[in-house]
Amino acid sequence: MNYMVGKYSVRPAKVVSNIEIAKDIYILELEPLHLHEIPQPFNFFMIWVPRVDEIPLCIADFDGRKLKFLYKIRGDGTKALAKHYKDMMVGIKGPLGKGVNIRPTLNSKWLVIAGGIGIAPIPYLIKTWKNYGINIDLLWGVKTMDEIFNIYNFFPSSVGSKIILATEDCRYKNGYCGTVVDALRCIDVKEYNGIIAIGPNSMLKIICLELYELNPYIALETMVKCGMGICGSCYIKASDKLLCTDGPVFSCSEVIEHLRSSNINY
Amino acid sequence: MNLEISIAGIKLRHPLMNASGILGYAREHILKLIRYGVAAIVTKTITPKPKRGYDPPILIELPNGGLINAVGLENPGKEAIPELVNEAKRHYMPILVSIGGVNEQEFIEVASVANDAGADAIEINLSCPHTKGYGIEIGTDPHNVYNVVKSVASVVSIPIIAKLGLSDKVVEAAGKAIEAGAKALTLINTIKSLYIDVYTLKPVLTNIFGGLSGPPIHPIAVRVVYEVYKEFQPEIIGCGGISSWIDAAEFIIAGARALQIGTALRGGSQNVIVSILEGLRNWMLIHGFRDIREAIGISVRG
Repeated sequence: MNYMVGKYSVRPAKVVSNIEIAKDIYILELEPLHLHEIPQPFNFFMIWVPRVDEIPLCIADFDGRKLKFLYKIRGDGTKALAKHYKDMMVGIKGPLGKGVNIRPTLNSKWLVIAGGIGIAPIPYLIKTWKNYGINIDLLWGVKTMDEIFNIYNFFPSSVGSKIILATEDCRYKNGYCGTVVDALRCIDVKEYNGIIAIGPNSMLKIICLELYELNPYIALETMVKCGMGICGSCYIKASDKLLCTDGPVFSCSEVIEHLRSSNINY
Repeated sequence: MNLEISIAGIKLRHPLMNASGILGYAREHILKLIRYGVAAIVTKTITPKPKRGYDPPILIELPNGGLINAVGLENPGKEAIPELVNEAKRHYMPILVSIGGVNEQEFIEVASVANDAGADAIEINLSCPHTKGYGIEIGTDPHNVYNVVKSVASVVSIPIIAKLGLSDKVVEAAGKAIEAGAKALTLINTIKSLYIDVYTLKPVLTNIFGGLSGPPIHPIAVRVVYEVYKEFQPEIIGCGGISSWIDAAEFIIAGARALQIGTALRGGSQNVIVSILEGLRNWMLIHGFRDIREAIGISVRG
């Protein structure tokens, strides 16, 4: 079917599957009837749950046809999304954002730090960068062990990447006991060519402050409403940047004032 | 070639500014708009108290190239005005504060703050099509337009620009706005509309109805500008569906002195303003216009 519309339109997508893979964490597979362009890692889509909400979700995987998303139940929108079964229709707007606008050097080694559901875009990053010969070690921290799922099983192209886990409830015995930042302090970050962190602002703030001289990249999460740079909801404080058109990936030096002013403690 | 123009007494280095509703309620937004290359900033419509706006979806691109929005006049309230004005002034940028309200008293309240903060002008939003009580109900009645403009004019010393929407009586309303003291008119606002998704069988916007903007409304806006110019020759800011220099030039020859860009700025495109200005310069060269003012309303007079 010819469906020629821009990327800011709502386009139909069919639910292929939508399953809970850890406590309150779902993996959603969608098949769009028309894809506007090939998504890049850290691109996000606005997922329209008809008459309920429009939820920004980063892409977790893409096989050339189907899109996968990881999401956590947070409010009415995600709750309603979780009730969507095979063959139901939703709308998608995107791919939005600049995606990962980093050009890593061939055969370099990167450390990715994810906090909680911040894991969502990482499988697709690992898969995409693997094709460029870039090796990613992943440090993933969660509050409780029941938030963990087996990344290798759900995203087979992650196999080969080293995954280091940290749980705050210390129930996962093969990982660190403590926060992702505690675990990070035990890692020699200087052996990596680059660092990308994604998670709550409180975590990103500490990482930016502690590793400032390495100027890591971070992927921010703020309220996104229109996704096309008009409503201004997702502006980055003390900058001329918007998350939805300039992000979500920034270097720490670009967003440090934003993180400082978020008034958060860890 | 001279693209400098003055509107309501404000000197602009070229005729292009952003339309109200494109960013414009935070200091950071002002910086972004300056990056786009506008000659003046128009703020988001500010109401006396903060307004939360609607939940998403609030803004959707349509298959025909337009946009439909129902943002719900989200804004931080009048207390934010001084900060916005100061930020624009720090960059030597003229700033027009768009004001909204449900009655004369509310318009006056916000206008006074903008006046005292040192804004260059006030744009009265008499035409928001999607927020009940805040616009089009006022703007379609020429008598109401007169009263709101008159009451704001009585409390401020800075120029007033009235922004009118599409209605059967828009020419009459324009006349009333001028009579009440408006120094210029912004024509037009978005047009009340509806978008229904044929796959899920449901309206897309949370508010159901929204305001249509972008290329589909351009010929309508040009028509309104032409008719109002023909009747009163007021100072007009043309607004509606400008995405290229051709759209801009058409507004100018229909009677507009200045122009506002909205939908074309979606996606954060940095070169929209620059390329429109470049196109306008080439167009002036073709016609031998040395000053953009020579072109204003030329199609109406001819």
